[in-house]
Amino acid sequence: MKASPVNVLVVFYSCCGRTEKLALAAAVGAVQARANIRMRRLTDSGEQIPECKEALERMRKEYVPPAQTDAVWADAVIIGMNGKIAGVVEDTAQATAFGRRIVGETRAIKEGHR
Amino acid sequence: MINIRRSNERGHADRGWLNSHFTFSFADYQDPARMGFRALRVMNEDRISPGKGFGPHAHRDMEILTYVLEGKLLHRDSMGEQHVLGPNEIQMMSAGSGVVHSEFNASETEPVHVLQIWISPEADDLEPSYQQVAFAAEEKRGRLRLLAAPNLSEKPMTVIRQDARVYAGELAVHETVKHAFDIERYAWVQIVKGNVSINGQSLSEGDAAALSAERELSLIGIEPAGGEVLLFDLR
Repeated sequence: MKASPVNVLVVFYSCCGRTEKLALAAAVGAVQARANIRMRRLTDSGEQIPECKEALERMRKEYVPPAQTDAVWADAVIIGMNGKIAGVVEDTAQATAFGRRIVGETRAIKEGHR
Repeated sequence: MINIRRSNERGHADRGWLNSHFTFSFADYQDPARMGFRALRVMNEDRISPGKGFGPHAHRDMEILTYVLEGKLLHRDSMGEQHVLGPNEIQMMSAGSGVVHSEFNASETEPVHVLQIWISPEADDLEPSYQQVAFAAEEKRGRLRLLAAPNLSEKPMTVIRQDARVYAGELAVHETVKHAFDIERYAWVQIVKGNVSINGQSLSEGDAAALSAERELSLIGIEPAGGEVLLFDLR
């Protein structure tokens, strides 16, 4: 009997496409491990980066931000973001807040089932 | 034996930006009696609004063919492929062990009308790959133009990892094309445009015919303007 697939939420923050590329690789890895995946991009704060204009506009169009339903759906979460602290403090906070939300909501769901 | 699947019997979903008709079970349209035909698993006819599309999502273990009827489709995937697909082209994405891709209408002003076709591969966990081949419109007029087969032939086409051959054919009124079959093989004929008679039965856009134990397939373009088919020769 096949085990039921794990739902993996890949949440990332990317403006120029570099972290997106890594997030895609992580997502493919999860698919190779027979997981279901959802890819969600954290909303940027309207950055204007001339050299990344094309990637930025494309990603704003292609991805939706994570929603509560995604958190409820996910069995596992992969978070992708730039490791350099400068300029990403807000993003880290955003991701941390999202992580807290996932924990809180998962706990609430589990407690509701007890 | 020939079984007809009429256009208006298909599943339908209108999400505003996306208008889809499902010949076989897909997404919210589920019918255990309509899970595919032989290795053919999905036949979706999609109309996507300008600038809209499917964000990055995953596939695995499926040979995915895309055939554009009108407009342009922008494809991007985790293999690094980025291409625009238009009419008289065939795209074959072999998902294999896993691919993440997005598809968007490449135009901000015109809709795109596209067929998305899934065929089960001969094996799981194959290496993912991407192929796209363009051909001249004349190559499918009054004949069947091979788009996909398990082995490369003399004409540019895509390789499918299944014992299946896929053809496109466009027929003017009264124009006839015959295709001989091994009696043990099966055929699925999808009418993608206009009106075509298949072994004496009149079919219209969106209709399809499943054939088994037939020695010959006879396609005739019928009034008012003939039509176009996709033919799947299946094990």
